[in-house]
Amino acid sequence: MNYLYYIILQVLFYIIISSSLNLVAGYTGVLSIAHAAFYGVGAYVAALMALKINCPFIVNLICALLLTALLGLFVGIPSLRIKDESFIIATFAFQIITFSVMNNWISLTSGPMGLPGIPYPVIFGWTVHSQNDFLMIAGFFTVAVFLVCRRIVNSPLGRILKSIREDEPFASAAGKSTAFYKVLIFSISAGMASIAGVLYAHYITFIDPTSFTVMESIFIISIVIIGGAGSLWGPVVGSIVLVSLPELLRFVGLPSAVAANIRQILYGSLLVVFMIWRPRGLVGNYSFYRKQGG
Amino acid sequence: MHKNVIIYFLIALIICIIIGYFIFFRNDNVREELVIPVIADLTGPIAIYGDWAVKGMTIAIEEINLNGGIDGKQLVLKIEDGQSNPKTGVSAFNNLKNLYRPSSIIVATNTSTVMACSPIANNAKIVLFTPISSGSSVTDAGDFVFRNRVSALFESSEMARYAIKKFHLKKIAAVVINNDAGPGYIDAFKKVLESSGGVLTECIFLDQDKTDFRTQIYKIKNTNPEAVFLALTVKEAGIFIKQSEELGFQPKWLSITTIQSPQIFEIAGKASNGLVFVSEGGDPSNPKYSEFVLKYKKSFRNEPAMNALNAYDAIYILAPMIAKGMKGSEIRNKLYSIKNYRGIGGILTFDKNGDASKPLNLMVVKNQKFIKFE
Repeated sequence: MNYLYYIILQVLFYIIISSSLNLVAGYTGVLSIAHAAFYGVGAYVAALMALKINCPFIVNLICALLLTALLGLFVGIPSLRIKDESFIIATFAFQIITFSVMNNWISLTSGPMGLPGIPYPVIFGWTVHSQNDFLMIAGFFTVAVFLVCRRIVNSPLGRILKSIREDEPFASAAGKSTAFYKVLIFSISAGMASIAGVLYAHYITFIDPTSFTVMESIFIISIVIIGGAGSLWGPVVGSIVLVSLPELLRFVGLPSAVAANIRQILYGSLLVVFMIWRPRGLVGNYSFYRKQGG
Repeated sequence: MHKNVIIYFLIALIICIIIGYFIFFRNDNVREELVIPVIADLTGPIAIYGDWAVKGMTIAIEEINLNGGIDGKQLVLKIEDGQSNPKTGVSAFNNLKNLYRPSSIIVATNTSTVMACSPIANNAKIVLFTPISSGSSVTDAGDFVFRNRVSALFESSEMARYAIKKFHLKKIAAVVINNDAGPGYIDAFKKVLESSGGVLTECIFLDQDKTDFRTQIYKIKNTNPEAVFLALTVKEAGIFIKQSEELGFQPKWLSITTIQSPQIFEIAGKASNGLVFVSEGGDPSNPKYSEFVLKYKKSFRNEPAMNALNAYDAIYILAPMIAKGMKGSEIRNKLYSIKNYRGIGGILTFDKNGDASKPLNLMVVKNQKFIKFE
């Protein structure tokens, strides 16, 4: 059952990250390619604190959350003053910079060699070690993130975000500081993404920069878009489909020598089919195409 | 809404298929075959190394099966792609572990994937055996992690010793691949070099999959080194040597086993002549070595690289133990007891960390052939 547990855990991690991105991309209409970076920063902060100063899990989690939210704030303030495609490029640049720092600051991050031996979480004397334990912890944080997202979306803040998504000049004209709200939600979103990073680092017990590349960011965006941007359930559905789909393809019974390549081709093709079939995603309310098409 | 119902139905169906698979088909390998579970990087930056390893293992499996298998059982490789990505590697490891309940898994991937899978292997008491991972961190990966590829640390230290004592070189620059194994190579090389009175004039990390190194070549050239140590994959090493020749920079080239592939001749051409490197080598005095080379050439129309030799040996080392139904801890103990195993990839002994201890050969490229340095 370990394999099934691992897949469920992966799904939960991606629900956390994609739900956080959904707040920015789905509800505010601002696409970010930096969420793997925030996810990675969370993982590295937790790993370094656990390894270098033996900090307990809860402290690691809080520090990672606050530091990443702060980082989101610093990235958001200059970046969100620019719009649409320019913002995407700005977040892309941040993603590249973060990866380069993780990969090249060898004295701190061990560079491409990664950080092995990250301890299992200990929460008030309880060592989270078995798959069941991790499932409970990850499940708890996933539900917590989902509920926080729902609270935000249904609050006045959520309505402002949606108004920014639908018509930013109008929201501005109505007296809302759109830049402030965009920076605020970007920072909250960055902090949330780091939770998945902390859980991932403590679960796998080894991290290296290759887990937080721009391809990972694109995968997270795919989850949001295919699952359905602007819907609370979109990231949940997207995570289940996109994480389990390649795993299902392992069992198709292709010859081993070509299985890897064919699996990737099939995966890519299915993604294209989904996009053509339903650009709003599986359960979404918002399409990026519509916005771009005017 | 109607569409949503269909979508929810499809999602439910996917979940049912996954759960159904685990409930009903998990133990479908109760046939008269012996499964050797393998994770190999068949895609991603080091796909070529994974491919070589799979080819080597395929030849070993074919040989054993042609001779009637082991105890009448035919061997079958079940290969998962690690995609040179630890996250995918862990997923593949868990999948193989769940499907076949193995006592050992061959992990022909980069060091990061080996490191990410190691805690699972140690906890589950499954021997993780890697024929290609050379990163120095694997040494401390745990009691159930073994490799018959020598450590980066050992290779680099040996090359540095040869550089100082045999070639009397003092000023050396280094070019190292910026991946999970690279820093280990340079740390060991620098340590031995500087403790023997040598100087590292420059050290440059190169990103994988780059093809233009002219700026880095000029930077190194300006430091006037007598030699340049290349701890690169074969592709980058070939391009680096070729471009250096084009820029009129022809120092003595020093390197390691990773460049021992015909690809170096295809890329660097005559510029590769004179390249000196330490190598696990392969053991030409072993008749099985020549036999393997012939079979490899016949099957894949190319010379085998070192990873193929090690992967071939990995099958011959592990398959008899798996066939006997040995548990992971028994295989671990057996591997620790192996002394001077004469494989085609060299004479192998495992040290207390599960690392390969092999005599390294000093090799040189002459007329685009690898020969032993006399």
